[in-house]
Amino acid sequence: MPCQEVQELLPWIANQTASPSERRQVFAHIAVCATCRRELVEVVALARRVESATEALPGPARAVDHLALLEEAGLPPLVAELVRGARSLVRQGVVVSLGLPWVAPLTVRV
Amino acid sequence: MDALYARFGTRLSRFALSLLGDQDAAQDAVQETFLAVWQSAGTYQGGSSVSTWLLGICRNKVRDQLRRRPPPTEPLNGAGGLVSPGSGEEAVELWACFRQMDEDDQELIQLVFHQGLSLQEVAEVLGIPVGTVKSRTFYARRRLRQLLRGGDSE
Repeated sequence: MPCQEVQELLPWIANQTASPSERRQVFAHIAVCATCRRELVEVVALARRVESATEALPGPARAVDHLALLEEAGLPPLVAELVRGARSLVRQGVVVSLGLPWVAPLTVRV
Repeated sequence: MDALYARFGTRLSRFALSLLGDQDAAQDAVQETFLAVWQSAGTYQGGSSVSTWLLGICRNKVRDQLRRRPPPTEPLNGAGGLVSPGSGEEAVELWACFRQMDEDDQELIQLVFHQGLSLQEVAEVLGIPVGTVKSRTFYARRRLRQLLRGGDSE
């Protein structure tokens, strides 16, 4: 495999998603090519740097408002009303789960 | 929906924030992603992983946000909204360089190095051939490295 092809595959060697056959070919090449070996070290360092900087970014600033999503999605008003009622009951400690497929998970978060 | 959000919300948020540099805009993009998921859940074919499917939708929502945004009146300098007071020097420098890259390159760097997508998954998210992903990623990472070494992106 020529250097250019090897170097194009290095990001996927670094993120460990290259196929076994690609890994074999790349490692066979870098065993005898100092340039590509250095390149791999640089790609791995860059990958770690990007990953660590991105992991340090803040997560979601606010929870997704699922009720707003349901309403925006154009569900019948009755459904939205049911969900709103369910959330109110949960807030008051009256119920924990309504057992409805997509109302029940919502009640856990309110 | 809650399970999806619990599992992927933070990951999508960071992806959107890294590309938009603004937490409110990133949160809007994530919210719009989940709205689109809600509306189109029945169309998910199972051909791609859920994370790839979500990233593809989120990427489109980020693009929508970028299109709606007025063009910058000054060149982008510094790391913008991507750093907090506790951010290390390395992160500050990385984001300052990252923001000087074009949007296509930023996406590739994020999808490969942070999201950890395979070649085929990146191709699927971006809707381009695998060969194009390989060559574009090669030049994107070269550009980022050059910027980190203090050179210009061109």
